[in-house]
Amino acid sequence: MGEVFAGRYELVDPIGRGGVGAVWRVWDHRRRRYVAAKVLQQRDAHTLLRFVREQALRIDHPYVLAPASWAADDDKVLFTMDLVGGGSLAHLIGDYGPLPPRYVCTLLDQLLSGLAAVHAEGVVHRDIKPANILLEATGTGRPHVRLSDFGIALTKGEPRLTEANYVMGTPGYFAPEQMMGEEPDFPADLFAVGLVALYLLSGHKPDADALIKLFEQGVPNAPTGVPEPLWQVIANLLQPDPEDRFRTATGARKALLAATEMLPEPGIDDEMIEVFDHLGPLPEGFGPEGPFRTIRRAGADTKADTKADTDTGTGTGTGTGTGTGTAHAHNGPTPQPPGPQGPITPPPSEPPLFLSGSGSTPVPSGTSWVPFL
Amino acid sequence: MDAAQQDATARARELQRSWYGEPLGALFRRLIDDLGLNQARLAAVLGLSAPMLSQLMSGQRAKIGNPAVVQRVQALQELSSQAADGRVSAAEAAERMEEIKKSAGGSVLNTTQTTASTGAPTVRRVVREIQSLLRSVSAAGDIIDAADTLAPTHPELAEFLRVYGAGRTAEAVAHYEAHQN
Repeated sequence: MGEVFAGRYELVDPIGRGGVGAVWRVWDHRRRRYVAAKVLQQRDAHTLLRFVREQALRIDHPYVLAPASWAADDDKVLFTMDLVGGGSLAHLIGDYGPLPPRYVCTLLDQLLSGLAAVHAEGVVHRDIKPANILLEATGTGRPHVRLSDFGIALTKGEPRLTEANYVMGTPGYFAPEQMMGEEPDFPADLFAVGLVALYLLSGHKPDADALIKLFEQGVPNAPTGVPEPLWQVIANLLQPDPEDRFRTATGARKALLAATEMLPEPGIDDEMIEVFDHLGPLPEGFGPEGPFRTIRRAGADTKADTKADTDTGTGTGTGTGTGTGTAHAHNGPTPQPPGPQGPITPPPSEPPLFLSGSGSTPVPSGTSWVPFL
Repeated sequence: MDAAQQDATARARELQRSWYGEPLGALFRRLIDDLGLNQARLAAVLGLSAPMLSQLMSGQRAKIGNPAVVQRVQALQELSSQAADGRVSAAEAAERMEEIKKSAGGSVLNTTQTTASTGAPTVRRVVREIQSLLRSVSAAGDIIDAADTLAPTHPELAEFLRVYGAGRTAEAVAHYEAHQN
């Protein structure tokens, strides 16, 4: 049994790491489903907490992965999100190198669509880069982007809390005006989308500084492998002066759609791109229906009080958990051997609780393993 | 596996033989043996996802799509032959592998890259010392296991083990610098 956070979220296994915290697969005992959870130290969590309180309920979009709820325990804060299993655009490039232009257009169209929804709520993402653009594990089907990691996102026009916000972000995906410390604005995100586009088409991280210098002498020629109509759109996104760039994600999206129509049809020799399920099988003790639990033979579940119904945050229920479903389809059978002991007590009907407050509890003696459902 | 799939797999292996000198299953297994890796670690050094590595090894997929990965495969082949006949030590091989991992665009996988590597040779040396000490005590896989065990109760310690025991040098340098004050 894993550690239970805030009496509700049972940590299953680590599935990734961000700049400041770990991302875990967790079982939500209340909603009875697996979700992803980012665990942050309280001191790193302010921006996200504010984001969740103010925005998460409203930014509910198929191409956005925003934290849906939060819970606090001791000095840590946990943010939950849909479980998305297909890795990030960085993984996709690692596996396939440069991607076909039409495929890139699909990814960019979804990214811009999600970004338009974010901007519509007045939020500047500020950290758009391949590692923050996740994918549903769609296999060889149409890819499905989820723009994630709102760890340093800001509402436009709001005063910034700390000086540190100035230097946050990822070197290499900064817009020039962002580097000069100007107020965060939507076109800075669009510049980063331009860099992501080049990265997807070339297979390696573009040199933003060199690009900015090149643009001083006017729009450079299309790099090798970038079709001219598509380059027109990307070059506009990459204009060093934000005044010369698209003003909105929707505007960029329209231009991209027009350019896509002028691209050649995909060749039959194009490599088949498959977005793998990167989540491993569930570890021992967990099945598709949740963890297998131990119950005491006597006096079991005395702790199952109403705490389970205490709301731990805002915005729960955003999203539909599509990622969860896909991930599970590939998890295969998880062995669930009940213990060798005799008759197994069926779990009581009330919601079971693991209130462990301080780390993982050893399995008490005189218990038997029973499937969670 | 039905006959059509078997045919496809055989054809993929044949293609791999003509492109890479031998089927990738055999090639990768030799790298794993000679360099003391496991599949997860080999995937990390090559910059491939674990499912992709597995598809290439089993012949479900013939071609390595990313040219940067092909270059890393070649570099690792050279290193593994040197390791096999004792021309490089295990510690040197580990260090070389870190470099190969970062070569030719490998940095795109870094989540939070720092630009602090310039003008910090001493920090780098200290970090390398810590890395090689940790790795001389235990294999990277075991360190990751230990870190996973610690993670729920001691996340900072787990992070330390992961970064120095199994992460990139750049990541370790960033960690070191973040904790200097």
